[in-house]
Amino acid sequence: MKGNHRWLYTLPLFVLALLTGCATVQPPVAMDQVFWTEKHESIGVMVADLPAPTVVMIGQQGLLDYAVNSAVASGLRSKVETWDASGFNELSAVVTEQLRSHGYKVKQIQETLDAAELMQPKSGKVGFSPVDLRSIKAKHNVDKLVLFIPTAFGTVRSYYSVVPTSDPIVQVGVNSYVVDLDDNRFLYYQGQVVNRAAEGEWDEGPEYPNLTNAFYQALDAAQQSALTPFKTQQVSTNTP
Amino acid sequence: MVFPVIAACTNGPLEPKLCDSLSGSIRSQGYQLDISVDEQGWLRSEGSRDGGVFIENGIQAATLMHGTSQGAAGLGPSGAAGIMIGSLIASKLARSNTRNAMESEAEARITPLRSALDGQCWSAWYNKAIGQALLHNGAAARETGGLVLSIAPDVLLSADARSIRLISEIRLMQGRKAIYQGHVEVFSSPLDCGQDCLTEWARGEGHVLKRELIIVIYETVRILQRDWSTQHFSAVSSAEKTLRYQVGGMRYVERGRVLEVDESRHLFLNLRGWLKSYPISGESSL
Repeated sequence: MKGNHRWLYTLPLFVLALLTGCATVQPPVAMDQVFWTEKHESIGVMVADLPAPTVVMIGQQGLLDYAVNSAVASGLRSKVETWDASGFNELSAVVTEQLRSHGYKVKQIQETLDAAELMQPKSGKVGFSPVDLRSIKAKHNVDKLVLFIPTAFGTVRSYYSVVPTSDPIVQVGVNSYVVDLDDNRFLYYQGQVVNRAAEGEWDEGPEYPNLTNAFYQALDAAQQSALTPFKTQQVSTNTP
Repeated sequence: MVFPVIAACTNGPLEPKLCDSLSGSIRSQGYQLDISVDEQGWLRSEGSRDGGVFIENGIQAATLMHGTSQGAAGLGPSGAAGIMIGSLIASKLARSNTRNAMESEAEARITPLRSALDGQCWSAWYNKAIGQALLHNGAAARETGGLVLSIAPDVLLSADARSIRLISEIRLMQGRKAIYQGHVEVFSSPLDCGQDCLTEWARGEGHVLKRELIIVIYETVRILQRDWSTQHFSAVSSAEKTLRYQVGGMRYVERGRVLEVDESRHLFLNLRGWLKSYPISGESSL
């Protein structure tokens, strides 16, 4: 009789699986050497749509706290919303040039895709794109896709209730992917966030020069970081 | 646009200011030179600007406050007000501690060089060097004059210790009124100093440092005179862009407008209206 209820021991695991089954966390994927060795294949390079720069308030805040904090930060928000992140698109041209200089067939691609689903997939197999990107292969005649998805542009400030517990910090985030368009497999994946404090005083509205400058510095640092894997060819492609 | 910002003197960062009649006033009245050097703190080192530390500390401070407020539940309105004031103070302290830690790190880096250069009268040295640079540019100071040109130089050693940046806050005073305010930063060329750059800077009682300082002082004075004669470069209409430059092992990124490019240097105006000059070999791309 006792043995008949053994399945009950697995119940917590089952419940846990149900609760966590909604989210798939994609761990970083180191660059697959296939990317460098398959020189005959063509590569598409793409930057997803840029999010508008915004002010993010984190920490324990009630609805009223949030409303107060939001009102106090309205001046900063007005400025942050004018920050021009379009320079981030330069990544596409720079990576294209970089890979071409190594002898690869490369083209820049403009396409709309579901970036949100790619970044926080509700389901899917780890190591594979949850969004089917294979149509890009036929449409643009490329075998692999280098994809950059900007994840955060703006400032982050932590609060406890209506008390700010940090200064606003500039944050720029980008996820970098290389996808094999035969089967949606990630040949590379890395997410990164650059946080940068203003040099000197931050609270100098309405122009916030130090914070504004920090944004462009962070944007550049994120671009540099995203470029790194494509700057140096990791293995020799010469056959012995 | 005659000049970007007009502001009264404050204790905050210096805001550029320039009067229309400046050139005429200088010609007719002449000026005395007043160099103010902080003998202890004129030489500093660049610090880190990693914002991740601030976010982390901010979240920790919030968690701490949450714990405190939970413990003080039921204290009534006065208790809640006390918690709020305490929280504000604690939050300010946490932020200032983070900044202090970063500054201490930079301070520790520069201490050996500062100690090696200790005992020299840097005020007198700067007075002579800046005086000569002004003379060289045909703008010699007088013993007496209606105006006082006040310059506060400050030197920042790069984090890789290979280059210096002379930061000068400059005011031209007519009595108690500032008829000109400017902030000029000039980067030196990087030193070829291998691993032990601090020793190289200190060599021969700071001979190498003084040699590089003279170069950046002359450039500072040149820029100052251009600023005066061009009404803060009012005729230049270049667009604001992200400027990237490399000096030694350090990469700098700053938003600004390019004002002048010659065979050796780039001069630009940053978002604060400050003038910055860096060696042209240092230009960098994305």
